[in-house]
Amino acid sequence: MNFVFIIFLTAICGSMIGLYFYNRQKARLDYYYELMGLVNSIISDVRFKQDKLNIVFSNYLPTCKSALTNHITQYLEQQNTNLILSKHVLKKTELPRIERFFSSLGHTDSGTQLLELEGYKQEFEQDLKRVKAHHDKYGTTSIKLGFALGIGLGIMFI
Amino acid sequence: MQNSILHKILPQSIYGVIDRLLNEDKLYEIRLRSGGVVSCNYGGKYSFLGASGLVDCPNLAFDCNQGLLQSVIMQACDHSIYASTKQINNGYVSVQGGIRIGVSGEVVWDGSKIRAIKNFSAINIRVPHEVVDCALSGFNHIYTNKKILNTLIISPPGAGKTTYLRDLARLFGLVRPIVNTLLVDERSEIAACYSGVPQLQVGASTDIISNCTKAYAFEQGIRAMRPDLIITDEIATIEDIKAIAYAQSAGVKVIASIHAYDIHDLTHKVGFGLILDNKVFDKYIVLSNINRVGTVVDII
Repeated sequence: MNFVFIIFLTAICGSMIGLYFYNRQKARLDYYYELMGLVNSIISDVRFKQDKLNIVFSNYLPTCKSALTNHITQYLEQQNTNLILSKHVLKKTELPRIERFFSSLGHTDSGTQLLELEGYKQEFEQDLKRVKAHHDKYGTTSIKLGFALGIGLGIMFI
Repeated sequence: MQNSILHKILPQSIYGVIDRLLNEDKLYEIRLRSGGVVSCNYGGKYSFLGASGLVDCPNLAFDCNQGLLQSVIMQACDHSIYASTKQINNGYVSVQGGIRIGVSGEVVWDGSKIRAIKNFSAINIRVPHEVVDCALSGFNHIYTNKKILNTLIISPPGAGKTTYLRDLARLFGLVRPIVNTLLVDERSEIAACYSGVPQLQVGASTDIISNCTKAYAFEQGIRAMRPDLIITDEIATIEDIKAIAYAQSAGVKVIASIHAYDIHDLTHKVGFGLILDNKVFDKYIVLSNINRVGTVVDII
C-alpha cells in the first residue's frame, strides 16, 4: 500500500513539474497571440480613428490576460524614458525586439508609423508560428513525460 | 486644469518656477527656442524666464535645446505623434485645457504635400484665458429684439478676438428662445475640444466642428446640424467669404472675425472690399489691444 502511495505521490509531483513547463509554453503562446492582437489594434487605430496611444491601450488592456499586460503597464509608466521591460515569459533573445516595438510607438507621422507596424507585425507572426509549433510539439508531452518520470522515480525510490 | 496640463508638458524645472513665482492668470505664452532660452508673455509683456522667475537678461534664463522641444511636443501629443500629424503640419498642436502649441521647424515635403515637420526650431505654448462677459456690450448690439445681425469682428493680432468670439458663443447659449449655434473651430482654438469635449465655455446650445476647413464645416454643418447661427474665426480667403455667403443664402446668420486694424484697413485687403460693397455683414465691431487686450474701439 505504501508503495502505491509513494508511486502515486511521485507521479503527481512529476505531473506538476510537467504542467509547469506546459503552462510556461502556454503563457508564451498567449503572449504572442495577444501581442498580435495589440499590433492589429494599433494599426487599425492609426489607419482610421487616430486616437492617442493611451486610449488604444486602455481599450485593449481589459482583454489582456497574459504577461503582455505587464509590458503595456511598464510602457505607459516609462514613456518619457529609455524603455526597459522585464523578461516575464520571453526569452532573452526575444526581449530586445519587444522593447524596440514599444519604443517605436508614437514617434512618427501616421504613414511612417504604419510602415513600422506592418514590419513588426510580420516579425511577430513568425515568432507566433515558432512558439505555436513548439507548444504543439512539447506542450502536452511535458505533462506526459513528467507523469512517466514521476512513476519511474517512484519505482526507483522503492 | 491648465495647471495640471502645463505640469504634464513642461519639465519640472520650468513648471516649478511658474507654479511658485508666477500667477497663471497672467501667463499668456511660454516660448521655447532651440539653441536659445525660455521666454514668456506675462501680463502682456515679454520677459525671459529663469530659475528666479522673470528676468530681463537672457543669460539668466533657462536654456532650450532640441531635446527639450521634442520632449514637450511628445508630452503634448500624449506620445502619439501620428494622432497629431495633421495639426503639426498645420503648425500647431491642441492640448487638453484649451492650450495650443504653435510649432515651427523644417518642413518635409512629399511632392506638393507637407509630409512632416522636423527639427523643431521653436514652440509657442499659448495659454487661453476665458474672460466672461467681455463680449456683453457687443452682444447687446448683435442680438436685439430676438434678431441676430451678421457681424464681423475686426481685430489686429493679439487683441482678443478669439476670446471675444468664445464669449459671444457662450452668451448666445443663454438666450431664449434657444439659438442653435454652430461653432466652426478650424484650428481648435475657440472651444478647444479634447476627445470631443469643449475645454472652454462656449454655451449650452453650441455644436462644434473642429479641425477642418470652413468650406467643409459650413456646408456639412448646415446640412447636418441646422444651425440658426454660425460663429467662426479668422476669415482670410475668398473661399471663406463664399462659405459665409452660402450660409447666409441658407438663412443662417454668421458672426466671424478678421485680422485688420479697422474698417479702413479692411478695404485694403485683397478681395475683402467685397464684404463692405455687398453688405455681407450688418454690424462691425472693432477690437484693439492699445490700452488693454479686448478693448472695443468701435461698433458700427
